[in-house]
Amino acid sequence: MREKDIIKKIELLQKIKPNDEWVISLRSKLAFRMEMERKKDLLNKDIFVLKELFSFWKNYKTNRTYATYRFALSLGIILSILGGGGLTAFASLRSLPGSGLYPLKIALERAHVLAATSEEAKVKLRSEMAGRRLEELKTVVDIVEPAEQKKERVDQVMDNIQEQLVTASNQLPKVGEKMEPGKAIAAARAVSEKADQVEKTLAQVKDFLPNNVGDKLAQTAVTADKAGTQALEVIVDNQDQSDSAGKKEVLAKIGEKIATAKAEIKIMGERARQATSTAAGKLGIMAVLVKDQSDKAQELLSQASESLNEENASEALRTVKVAKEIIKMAENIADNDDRQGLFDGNGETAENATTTGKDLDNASSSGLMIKNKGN
Amino acid sequence: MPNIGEEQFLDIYDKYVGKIYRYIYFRVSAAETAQDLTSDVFLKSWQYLSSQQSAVNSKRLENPRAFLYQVARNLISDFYRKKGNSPLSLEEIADKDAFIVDGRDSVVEIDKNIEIDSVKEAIGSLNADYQEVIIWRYLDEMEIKEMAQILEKSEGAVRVLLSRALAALRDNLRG
Repeated sequence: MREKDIIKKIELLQKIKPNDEWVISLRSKLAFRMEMERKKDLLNKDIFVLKELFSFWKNYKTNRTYATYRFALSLGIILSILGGGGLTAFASLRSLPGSGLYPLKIALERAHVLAATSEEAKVKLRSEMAGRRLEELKTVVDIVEPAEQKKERVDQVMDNIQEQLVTASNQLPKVGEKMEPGKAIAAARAVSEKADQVEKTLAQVKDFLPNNVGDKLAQTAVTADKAGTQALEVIVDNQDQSDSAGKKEVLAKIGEKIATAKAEIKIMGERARQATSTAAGKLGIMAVLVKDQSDKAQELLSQASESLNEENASEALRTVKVAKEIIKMAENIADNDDRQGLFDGNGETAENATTTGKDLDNASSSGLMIKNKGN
Repeated sequence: MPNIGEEQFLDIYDKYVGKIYRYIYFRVSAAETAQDLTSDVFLKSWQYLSSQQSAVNSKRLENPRAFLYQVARNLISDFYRKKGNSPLSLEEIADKDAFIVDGRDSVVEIDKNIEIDSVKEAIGSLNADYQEVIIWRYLDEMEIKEMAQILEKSEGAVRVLLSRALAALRDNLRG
């Protein structure tokens, strides 16, 4: 046997490799050990740098002054570091928002994400984290407690969901950016599905939560909508790689976005009608602007529907995006008017009208650009 | 302060975990033991690199692969010393389920797996020095210079060792 034949045979053994799951789990163990050692080191060196140890807690402590909460959290972390780590970590996995061990649970999940070996795995883990937060939200809804306490729990969950969605969508390739199409689509699908799930869950639980969490829920819904749209853009950008079922799925999702936007316009129209009826048919300047922009958004959505019928997903998505921006701005004006009592045509000022008119012009010019392009 | 960053060490892990595992697997011929020892290699290397003085670390980090293999060699020696065993017999080495091979169950793949088994057995029956140089040179594509550094031998001595190892392997494959 010649030497090169022997070498060829040896090279066959390159196929021997460790199990993927084991590789990931060891990496995760290593990353966790590193984090704990770093914090243990801090603990030994300087008691004052304990602040660093609790850095992940900073988002919550501003709203909390309860000594017991701080004590439980401190105890949990110190136990994790100095021994009995497994038990504490295990206990934290079952904790809910508002519990002392909850931030530890979040920190452990973050460590798990950090330990992921690829960007796609990170995106997937982040969207799984958002999924777990949604489950927690459903549990929190069922807890009977004062509104203020409920708000704290819901805020904690919402902040985390938003963070996961924003980070996961930031890790997606930007439109035109290069990434292996299969991987880009898989990651974008994970984000898109999770964003849909967030929007659906928020719609389900909205009526069972106190009014004081309304703003936070709305904020989270906007974040989910943005993340979902960004994920759809990535899928559309790589749609040459999708099968026909995948393409149909994307078109259906864009269709849902158009329907949601139309429903939002309808709600605004209803508000305008009610305002008009209370002011004996006289519309204020702001109300006129809102109606004008609603009409423009409606027109853009019709264009988007046409593009969708022609299976031009990219054009449809772009048009929906602009329409939604116009709707959002019109909603802001309507909200301000509600607060200032201007929607009924009494007390409009020239200054307000000019400023808002400029804002709307900016939004509508981008809308008209699409319109002209469509023509 | 540690001389090596966590991210940097995790990059090293990503790059070498497969190779270190394979090297250990050949030396101990059991997947579970190979996993345990590979895990020890990385945990101990991290402990060492994150606690040593900068000058020592800089040297180690010039060639992290060589450092990891040195740690692996020490742990394997330790393993056999504690176990009171010499490296495993031919029967123990022929543990077909102990590793993962990519591929489908086509006839060609099955033939290839049988061939892999026979080469694995042939390498497994070589002495530890020969096994090492063959794995490093032909599986991990290591340079002679780097092998000399790990073995603390001259490059000429490594070449002679490699040539003898190949001759011994040829005999095993014939037999």
